[in-house]
Amino acid sequence: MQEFRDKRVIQALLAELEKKTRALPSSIRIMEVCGTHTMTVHRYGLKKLLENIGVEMISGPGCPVCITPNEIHEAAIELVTKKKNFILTTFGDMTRVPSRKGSLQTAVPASGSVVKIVYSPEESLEQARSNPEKNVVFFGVGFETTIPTIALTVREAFFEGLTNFSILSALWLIPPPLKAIVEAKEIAIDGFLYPGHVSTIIGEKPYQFIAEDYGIPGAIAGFEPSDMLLGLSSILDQIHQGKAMVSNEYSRVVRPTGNPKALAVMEEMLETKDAYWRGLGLIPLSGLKLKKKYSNYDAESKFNLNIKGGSGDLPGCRCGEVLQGVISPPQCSLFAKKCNPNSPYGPCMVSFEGACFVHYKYNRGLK
Amino acid sequence: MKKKISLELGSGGKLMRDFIAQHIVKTFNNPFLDELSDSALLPRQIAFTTDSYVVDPIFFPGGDIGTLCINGTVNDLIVSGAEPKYISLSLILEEGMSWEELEKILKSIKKSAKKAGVEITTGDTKVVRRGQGDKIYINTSGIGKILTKPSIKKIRPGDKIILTGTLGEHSLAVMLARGDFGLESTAKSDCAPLNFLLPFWKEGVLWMRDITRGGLATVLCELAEKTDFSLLIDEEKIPLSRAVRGATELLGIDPFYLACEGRAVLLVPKKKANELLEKIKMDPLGKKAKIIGEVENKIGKPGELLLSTCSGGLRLLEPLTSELLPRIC
Amino acid sequence: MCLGIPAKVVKIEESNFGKVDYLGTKVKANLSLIEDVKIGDWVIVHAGFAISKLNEEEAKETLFMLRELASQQATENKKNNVEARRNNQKQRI
Repeated sequence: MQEFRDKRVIQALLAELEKKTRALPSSIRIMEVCGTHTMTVHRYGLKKLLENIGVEMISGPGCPVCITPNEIHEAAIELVTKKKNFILTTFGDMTRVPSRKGSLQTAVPASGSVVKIVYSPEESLEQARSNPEKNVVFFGVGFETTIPTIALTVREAFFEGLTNFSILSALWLIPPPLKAIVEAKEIAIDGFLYPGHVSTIIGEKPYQFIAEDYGIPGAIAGFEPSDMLLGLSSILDQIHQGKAMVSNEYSRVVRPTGNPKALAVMEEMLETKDAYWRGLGLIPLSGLKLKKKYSNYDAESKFNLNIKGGSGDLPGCRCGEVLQGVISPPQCSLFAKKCNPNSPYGPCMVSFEGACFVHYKYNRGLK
Repeated sequence: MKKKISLELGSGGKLMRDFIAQHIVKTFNNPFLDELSDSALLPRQIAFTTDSYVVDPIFFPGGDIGTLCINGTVNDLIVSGAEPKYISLSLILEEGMSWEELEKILKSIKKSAKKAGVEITTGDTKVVRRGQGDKIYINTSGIGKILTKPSIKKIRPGDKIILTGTLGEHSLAVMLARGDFGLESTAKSDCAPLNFLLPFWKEGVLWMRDITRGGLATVLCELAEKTDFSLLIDEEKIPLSRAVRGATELLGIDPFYLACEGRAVLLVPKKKANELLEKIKMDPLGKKAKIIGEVENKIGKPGELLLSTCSGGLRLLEPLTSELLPRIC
Repeated sequence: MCLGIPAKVVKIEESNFGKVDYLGTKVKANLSLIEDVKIGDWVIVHAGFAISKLNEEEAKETLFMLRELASQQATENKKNNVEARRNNQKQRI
């Protein structure tokens, strides 16, 4: 994998890209919609290198931590701080999100309750098995890459007949917000970099409408620096050829039809629902929830959580515009002042993959 | 709602730093404490430090809480320019803890103390009810003889940063011992006393720090903030073992923030860097040492820590804001 | 969040679990989302689950292409450097 990050390879790819951007009248704006893509750009210092050759990378709504609304975080915090003998398991980055009730990280659990950070939803099941006297709730947040793993975990719990396991879900689909963004027409996007691992699950087809109906080029790309540059190269080729398609630049991992087994388990366990995206508002059929048959494994119904959507962001927060790529983080007046990683005001500053957090960490002050 | 103490307060991150600045320093206010260095540098050439050890689990590949409680405290003295001499040992035991485990730990403490050249001269033992502790907590305080005082003010652009060995082995060892994720690896804790670095204080070393909670990035950020310059380190020069490389990639963890317990970073004058590096490499604990970067005044802003990435870009590193893994030391 | 690392399947246990190896570190992985998985296959591991098989042929092709590109660039750089030096010499003369 080191080869995919190697200086000489990157330099060669950048040189190739520059030949293609030189011929264009102005710099191009490419949106990626995956927190891990955002991370790669910044972790390897690619943002400046790309800007220098006329490619502006915009971070879209690809960070599940950023788009999960306040009310869901608050529900998780309520569960573990008010109810005794609860084990709330969660992915690490969800714990830092500040809500009006604080964050999971600073929350003090009720007696006998605890917040446990897990790497895999499987670990939550193990917690449930080894702690039959406690209620285990998995804070299941993710896009299509993670959704099948969560669905499988619930299915396992169902077949085992576990009664002390459930999920507090925040499951998001990538294609609907993409549609919302291209239909909003607020920004000029010259191309999309599609998330490589979401694509291993859903394949190429769900993005076709962006090329066919809106004429915007796109490429499915992996997560190593070279992978992203290969994706950008394909987009530039499409721009030069005046055609728009969904090219697969991560073919070593992504099959055109995705992962049938993963899609099947999603179909079996989950159904679509309208969902409130932080910063983007209500997007129809953009989320997933457990089917009624599995409502005993849905923490929301099991514990009567009554989560009311659409509470909105804190006043003055412009994360919505950042998530849509309308403004860049420094254009928000709160950026690096009232809102910074140590006291994040909005979701984009909280997650390690959030556009504002990443910009703050990696870009600020670099000459 | 009454304010309560959260776990995050003890994490070594921002919340803890704020707590110390706003409550501890303010309440106890004196010139020694205000320095907030790893050891207090007292009159009559005495250096004094203390640390509590709550690592979970208490045994891990390459060490245990006993090895940690000596080496951690000894290293705090060494990196402050002092030769460690005397240790106090306070044990808080939980009712029901096994004798066998306690004996193993005492043996580790004896072995580590011998290696580090220190004597256990005083201590205390308490036992708390089952459920009110977690097997064993240890506090050690250390007294050392000041050989030289670190001289941050002498730092100049071009001065070099030496890292004595590979990063993150201790964190990985603790993760392995917890049995998280079914992780299997050959990694062992790097827990060790850094006595071999003491002589270098007299050979021009300007500043030293052992890399514990918060990892390399946090330690160097703290240094950068104390100077009028920026620090630039090269990702390709940072030694990482295959085991740590594998585990951090798999788990999505950044090795620059992983704790070690036997690694240090030194700031040395440009002219002496190569010579000192060779000497450090002669010790088994320093054989993987490398010059990983230098003090800058042309790139970035004063007080910044910058990383030249393996892909040829530039990245700003910030101190760890919150704990990656709890109770690692 | 989409973090996924290519790792080699080194053990397959009952009920769709197995162990994968990356640079000598082994981790437990749920293999039920992959068809026909065998020991020695490379898979992408995300959150403790294998989500896709790595196509080794494609991977090798991509690596080969990247290496070619890098060495071509290095040759071009050398040429440019030599030319630049020649120009400098000419200017001095």
